[in-house]
Amino acid sequence: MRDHLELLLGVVLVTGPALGISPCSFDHGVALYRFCNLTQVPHIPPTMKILLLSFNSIRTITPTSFPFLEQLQLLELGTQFTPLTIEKEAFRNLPNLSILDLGRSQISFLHPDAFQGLPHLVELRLFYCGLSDTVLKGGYFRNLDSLAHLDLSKNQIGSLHLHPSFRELNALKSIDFSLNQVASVCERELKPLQGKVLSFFSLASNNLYSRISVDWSKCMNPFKNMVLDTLDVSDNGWAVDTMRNFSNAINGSEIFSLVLSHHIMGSGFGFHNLKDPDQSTFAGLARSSLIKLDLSHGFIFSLNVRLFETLTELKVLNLAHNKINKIVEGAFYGLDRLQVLNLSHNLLGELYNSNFNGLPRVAYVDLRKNHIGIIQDQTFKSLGSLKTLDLRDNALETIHIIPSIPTIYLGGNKLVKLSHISLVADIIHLAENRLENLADLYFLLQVPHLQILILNQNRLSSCSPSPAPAESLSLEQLFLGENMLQLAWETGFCWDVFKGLPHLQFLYLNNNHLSFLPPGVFSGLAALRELYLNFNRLTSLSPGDLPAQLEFLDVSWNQLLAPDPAVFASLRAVDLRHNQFICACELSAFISWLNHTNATLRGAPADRYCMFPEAFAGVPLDSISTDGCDEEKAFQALKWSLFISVTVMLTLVLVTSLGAAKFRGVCFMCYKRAQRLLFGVSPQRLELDRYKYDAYLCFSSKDFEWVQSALLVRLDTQYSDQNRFSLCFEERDFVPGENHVVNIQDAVWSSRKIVCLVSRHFLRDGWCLEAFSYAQSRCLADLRSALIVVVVGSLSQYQLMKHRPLQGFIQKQQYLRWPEDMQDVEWFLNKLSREILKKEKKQKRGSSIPLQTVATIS
Amino acid sequence: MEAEPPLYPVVGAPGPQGAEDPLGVPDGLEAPLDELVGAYPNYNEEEEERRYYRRKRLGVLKNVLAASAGGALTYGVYLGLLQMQLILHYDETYREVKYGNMGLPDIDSKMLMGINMTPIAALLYTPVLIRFFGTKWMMFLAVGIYALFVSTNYWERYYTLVPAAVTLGMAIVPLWASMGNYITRMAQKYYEYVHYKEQEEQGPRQRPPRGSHAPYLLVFQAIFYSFFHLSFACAQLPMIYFLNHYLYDLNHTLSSVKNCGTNSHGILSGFNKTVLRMLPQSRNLIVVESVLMAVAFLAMLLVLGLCGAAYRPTEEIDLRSVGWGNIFQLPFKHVRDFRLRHLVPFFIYSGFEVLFACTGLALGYGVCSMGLENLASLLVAYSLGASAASALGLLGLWLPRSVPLVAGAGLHLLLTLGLFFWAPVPKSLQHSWILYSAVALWGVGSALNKTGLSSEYRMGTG
Repeated sequence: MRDHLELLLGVVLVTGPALGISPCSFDHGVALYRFCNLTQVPHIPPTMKILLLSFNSIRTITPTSFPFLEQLQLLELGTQFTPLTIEKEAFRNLPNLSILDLGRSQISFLHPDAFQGLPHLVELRLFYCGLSDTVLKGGYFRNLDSLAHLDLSKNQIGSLHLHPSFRELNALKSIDFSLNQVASVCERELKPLQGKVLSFFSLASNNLYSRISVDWSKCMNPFKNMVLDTLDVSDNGWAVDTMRNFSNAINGSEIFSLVLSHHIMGSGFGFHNLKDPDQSTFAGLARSSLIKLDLSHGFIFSLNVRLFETLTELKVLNLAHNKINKIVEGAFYGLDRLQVLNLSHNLLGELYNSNFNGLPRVAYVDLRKNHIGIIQDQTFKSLGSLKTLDLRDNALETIHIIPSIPTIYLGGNKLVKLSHISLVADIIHLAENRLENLADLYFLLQVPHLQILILNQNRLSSCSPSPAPAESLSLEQLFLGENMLQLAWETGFCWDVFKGLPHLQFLYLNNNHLSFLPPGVFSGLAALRELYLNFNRLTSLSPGDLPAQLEFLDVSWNQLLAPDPAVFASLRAVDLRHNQFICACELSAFISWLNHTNATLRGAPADRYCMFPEAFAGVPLDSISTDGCDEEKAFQALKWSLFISVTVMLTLVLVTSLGAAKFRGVCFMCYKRAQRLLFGVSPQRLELDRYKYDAYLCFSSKDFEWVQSALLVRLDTQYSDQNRFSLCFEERDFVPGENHVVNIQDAVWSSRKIVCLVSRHFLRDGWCLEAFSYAQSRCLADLRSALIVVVVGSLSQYQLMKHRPLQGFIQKQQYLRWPEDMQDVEWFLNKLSREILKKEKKQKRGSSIPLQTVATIS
Repeated sequence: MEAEPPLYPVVGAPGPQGAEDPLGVPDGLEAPLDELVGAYPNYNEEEEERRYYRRKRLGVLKNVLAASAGGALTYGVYLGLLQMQLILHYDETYREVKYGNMGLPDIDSKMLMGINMTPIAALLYTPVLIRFFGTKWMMFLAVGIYALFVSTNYWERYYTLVPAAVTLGMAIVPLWASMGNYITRMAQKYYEYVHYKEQEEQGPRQRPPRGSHAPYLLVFQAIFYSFFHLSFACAQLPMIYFLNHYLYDLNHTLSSVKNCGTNSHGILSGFNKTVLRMLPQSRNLIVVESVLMAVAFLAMLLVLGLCGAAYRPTEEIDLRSVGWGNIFQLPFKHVRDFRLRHLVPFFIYSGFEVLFACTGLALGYGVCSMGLENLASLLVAYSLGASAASALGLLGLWLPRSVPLVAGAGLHLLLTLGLFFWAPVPKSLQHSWILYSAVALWGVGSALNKTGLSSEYRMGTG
């Protein structure tokens, strides 16, 4: 009932504004009148269940203050700004009230019958109301049959003389007298409570028994015949003697949980005037069946021998926030059933083998926030049932003493390097250490049965050349945030660190300065569901980077510029906030994915914004339009085709130019050979016609050597069977003894063509020029050009023009030049051959029969 | 096959002057009309000969101009493209957005290494290539390889850029070796065409006296270097007309630059990682690359069409008669010459001074104080200074040849000393005139150095 109401109250307080109840009004059974400057109770309909009237200035509550509110369950009248007067039966009209809260109101007058007529009141809050002893003595709580919780803390109650009517409060469960001024409590004062079973009884912060000296023989046992679940006597300034006396006094009362925090027992650090608790201090609690003892926030410096010997039932012992530096051997003797031992926030500097002797059933030892720098080998060996060891925030530099227990917390130590011991554990917490080498990670991954490994805030940054690949079939969660994996990975090693983790489900790699992901680094993570890469410096992700089964990816606070949406295609949820998106056309695929994806996008859309260009800085991605970005793809294709076509064209130009320059002779020969092969044109003798010779070669006799090697060998049939022309030249075919002129004339007229090889020698040779004249005259006679002039050597136009016989021809007719480049010779000879043959064919084809006649006549 | 001795001895007595130019003067076309009709009694042989050689000389000049322009365009396109790409790739955003996981800096460094390291091996194959292809065709091939490099920038990938860069590196030394050879040869030919009379008298086989073509060589080299240094200005055109519109101003790019010039540690330390205000669109990039490509192609056509052959086929036989075994020793033959050995420091210095002008001076002083947007104008100043001062190489006509060389080095020394004591204020345009004049003066020194050095070298090797 109470819990439900508190929940309800909480819901109302938190969600009040959200429900839409405006202040100083009511709705849905709740009347909210806080801070409304009311001086009296407002008018509300009778259906209200909750009435909240705190923070007003109501001065008086009379029976008529409230209308009849049958359904009202919670009334909050606390914190009135003016003194409050509560008249007789003031709450008479609220018959079903469960909770009445008058806390923090200065009650100037409280009528003894003020709470009468509230048979269903469960909880009454009267804290900080300035009430004095009379509230207990005066029988104010008569007839509150349902009252279970009475809060009288922070008042000015000096003694606990309870009115006999307390005996009738059968439902009473908890009474809170904390922060009063109760100097002492004795048996007769609490007599009305005898025989009751209370779940909570607080006398904390009362300076109880510490201001005055108590005669315990008179005072007797204040909790006689009472059963207390929790007795809170903390913050009363109890020293060892007070505690011993108290524990002796309450001997026999059943108290399951004794809260004694904020005591002053113990000598503290650096003092010796006060005693540490000893064997006798808690001896009186032997018959109290104490299960939980809270001794935190004290000054205990040394745990003396057999200190808790009598507390055989104890299961939870809290010694946190003391100054414990010394655990005497046998200090825990007798705690046979202890399960939880909390020694956190003490001054332990080292642990010895004997420290934890006599704790056979301890499952959880909390040693956080000590200064433990060294632990003796066998320290934890005696703790046979140990399951969890919390050594966080100590000064350990080595872990070789760590036993194989399921859960090990070693965060916040000074571990730089792990000694590779054989270890079995389910959970290992090593955050905030100084681990540097990934070899330690490889070692930890090989711990059998390990399910959760926490390595946040270390310095993992270096990689030994080739550690054996780690394999763990049990690991499910791996926390590697806030390390420096980038440094390790950028050396190119340790890319296989996650290769053998087939059951890993959660991987945290946040804050690792990662600027790239090694290719295939996650490829072995077949079961990975969530990957945290936030707060890194990743600028891009490749589709192959992520494992296939991944469901959630956190890449917020990275530097992704234009991610490929294919990366996120298979994810169910992704966090992409605070990246440096470049709002250019390259991002259009990503934006359209963002607008159409079914995946959950964590975070507000305003946190996914552009960073560049400046005009778009800070603009959310979902307000960016990607129209007009389709042409980008076309441009890529255009670039590719331009590249190919231009390259091919340039190569062709280069190859053909160079080929033509350097290999045209070879090409021509190949062409000729191919022609011969294909068409079977073999050099055959020309059919004989009326000419004796095919051509008359006219050249200076000084050039004979050259002519022979250059022309005759290639053309004349007598030089080679391959040749097809019968040539006439002076040295062979002129009749010796005959007149030279006649010879020349014969040669000219009996040859089909006259080939004059004009060289410098030719020009100087009178006979040659003579022969040229005859040839020219034959041309005139035939009316066709039988003369072929081949200029040999570097004779330029003007040098030829000098010679009168040649002038006319050179100017009007075409002439051939002997090629300078040797590779052109073949081609030239071919051309010359065609020239020799050309006109004949024309004639056959041709029209000029008269010319034939002329020839016959001559 | 070219190594065989000539099969056909040249007929008659061919003069050293010949009608070797296939694209030069076609026969009979220029003859005046009246000469075509019938005989002409008063044929003035002297006049015709003079005209003939004048045409030849003009042809040589045309060759020099075409080769210089072709080289300048090629080098300008190459430098401009490289500069543009390096600036674009320098920008972190551009790199990541356009080439996310391609590893562009890695490619760039490999590319630069390919361009800069491969030429070291060039000593071994350059003579072989020039011997095989001939001077002109080697030039053409190398210019074509530059054009191929430009074309790969359409598709920037590892497998295009790096091979293209290595090929380009292989082509650098043959290009400039054949270019220098070509210019020298043109000077020789020009000398022959001027002194045709003496040639005829002395006898055709006689080689002209050693070093007789020096004045022409100086002039041609002045022309060549004027064009060559203009290529630095050409290289700035992509920046001026394209990239400058995308750059941040100096307040952004130099925001964390504290020291410049002599005070700075390293070149441009603290320079902003992002220099682009917005990313250039693919469309514009394609246009710019196409323009560069067209210019590179134009340079190819210039060399192909307008540069006549350096040697006549019969002359090149001289070169070819060097055996295949000896040809590898050819580059080292010059080392035997002690005069040339003295030039070795100058060669090294000549390479490093351009490097310094483009990096230390332009970046460490210029960009550092005036921002990246003024890089183009600084380099244009350098280029124009150098180009204009290339004419100073003509001083060698009247002064000892070593004067320009020493003057250039002295100027550089003075400038270096001056710069050593000067640290311009970052993000300030106040001292721009000092920077412009320093850069232009450095260009003058470069030009003096280049012209002096190459004339010394060409004279030495003859």
